[in-house]
Amino acid sequence: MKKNYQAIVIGGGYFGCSSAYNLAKAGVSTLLLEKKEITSGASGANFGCVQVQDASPGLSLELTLAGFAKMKTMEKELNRDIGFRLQGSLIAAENEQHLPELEKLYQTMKSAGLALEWLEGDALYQREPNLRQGSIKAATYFQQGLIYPFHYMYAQIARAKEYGLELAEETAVAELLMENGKCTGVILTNGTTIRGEQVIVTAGAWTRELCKKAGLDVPVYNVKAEAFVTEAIEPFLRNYYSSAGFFAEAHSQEAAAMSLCIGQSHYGNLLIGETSKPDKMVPADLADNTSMEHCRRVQLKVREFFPALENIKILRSWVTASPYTDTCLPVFGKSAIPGLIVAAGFKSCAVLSSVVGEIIADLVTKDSCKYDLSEFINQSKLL
Amino acid sequence: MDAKEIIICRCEEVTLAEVLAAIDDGCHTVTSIKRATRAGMGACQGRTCNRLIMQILLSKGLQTSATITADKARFPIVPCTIATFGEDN
Repeated sequence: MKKNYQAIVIGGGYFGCSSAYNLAKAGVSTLLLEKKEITSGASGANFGCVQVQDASPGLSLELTLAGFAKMKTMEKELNRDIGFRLQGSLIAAENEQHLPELEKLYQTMKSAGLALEWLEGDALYQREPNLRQGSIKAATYFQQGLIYPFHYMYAQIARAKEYGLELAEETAVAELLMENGKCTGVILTNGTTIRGEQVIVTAGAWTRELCKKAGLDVPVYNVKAEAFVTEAIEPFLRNYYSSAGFFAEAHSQEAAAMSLCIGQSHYGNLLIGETSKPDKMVPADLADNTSMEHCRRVQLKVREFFPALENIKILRSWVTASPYTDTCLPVFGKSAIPGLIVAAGFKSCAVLSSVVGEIIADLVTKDSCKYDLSEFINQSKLL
Repeated sequence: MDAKEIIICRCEEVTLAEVLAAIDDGCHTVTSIKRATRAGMGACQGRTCNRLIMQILLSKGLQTSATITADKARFPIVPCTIATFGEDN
């Protein structure tokens, strides 16, 4: 590790890997710091869904569509198999309360030019034959994508290293180095100071704490999100299924929730999420533990919507700190602190990561980008 | 024997060659090799390959007996059906 870099990226998830890759590719001397290992946080717990149809209107949707287009060419660009394939997505109104929101999403996306389908009755079960008849009211369908998260992130790191990226795993940042009101680098937990002309915080659930010490409030919160993976089975699901209540229910700071999302991986395993609990409701020593509520709720939801799965075996569970913002808009852009760029709290991470990495490379090399990020970054405030 | 023909993880059919490629990519722990190759993600959850990968890392000098750790065992440890959960509702 050197003492000086043009750019220091903190956090080795979707956004850190993509930022590091795009910066190194642009010829910027870059250091990527990860407190554990690459992909070990929420990005590694992610299902790899290249989600398009649930994007928030406006700039989020514009970036999502740019990201989806880019994701289709990533295997060629990275010269590696990242498991990209087209895959349908169903967002399901599981009850009457979900219907107004889903209708709104459908109308918004239609008027934005996306070819969403509104499915009810037979049309629904033709799209997803193993969904229990009568279990949902309606769903929207859109063909989007799937990647294998680990292959995607490792591929970017491998390419970035060819461009000169330095990666330091098991290396935690204690605080951002602040001098004369500017962010000029980082201080590691071992006391080492490393200087960077630009510091990019892509630390997900840890972004808020890190920026707070530097005097910037970044309203990115997190829930503890739990998931299961089953044994591999024959093709069972045609689409990635998620409840229309997901964003409203799964990101409450007040109550735990179980909002079903389920997809079949490249290898035939079913990924089943998710129980979420406000961070403050989970004692620190239980943060990595699967809860009894999760077991019970998954069992109930699976029986309700996909009863054929009840005798499929669960192999493994995991829990992650899943970041989000109250507005569903990310905190992203050049912050009010010179030298500090923030990228955290994104809604659909896989699809946005590639375009966000490109934007960050532009912000570092050209001091600007082709998008107006003020709505995103103005959510952060100087303390 | 050809590293492409030596199976390290039987459940997920991961070869020694794939494990060595992951090590070349910078994976120096049992867990990161699991993420990169799927070794240990299958039906037996790494009961055999965990040890084999520890041996590979030790023999390459990438870990020592003081630093090496096994992958974290995750609930439910023994595969069990979804119907098993929450019988008390």
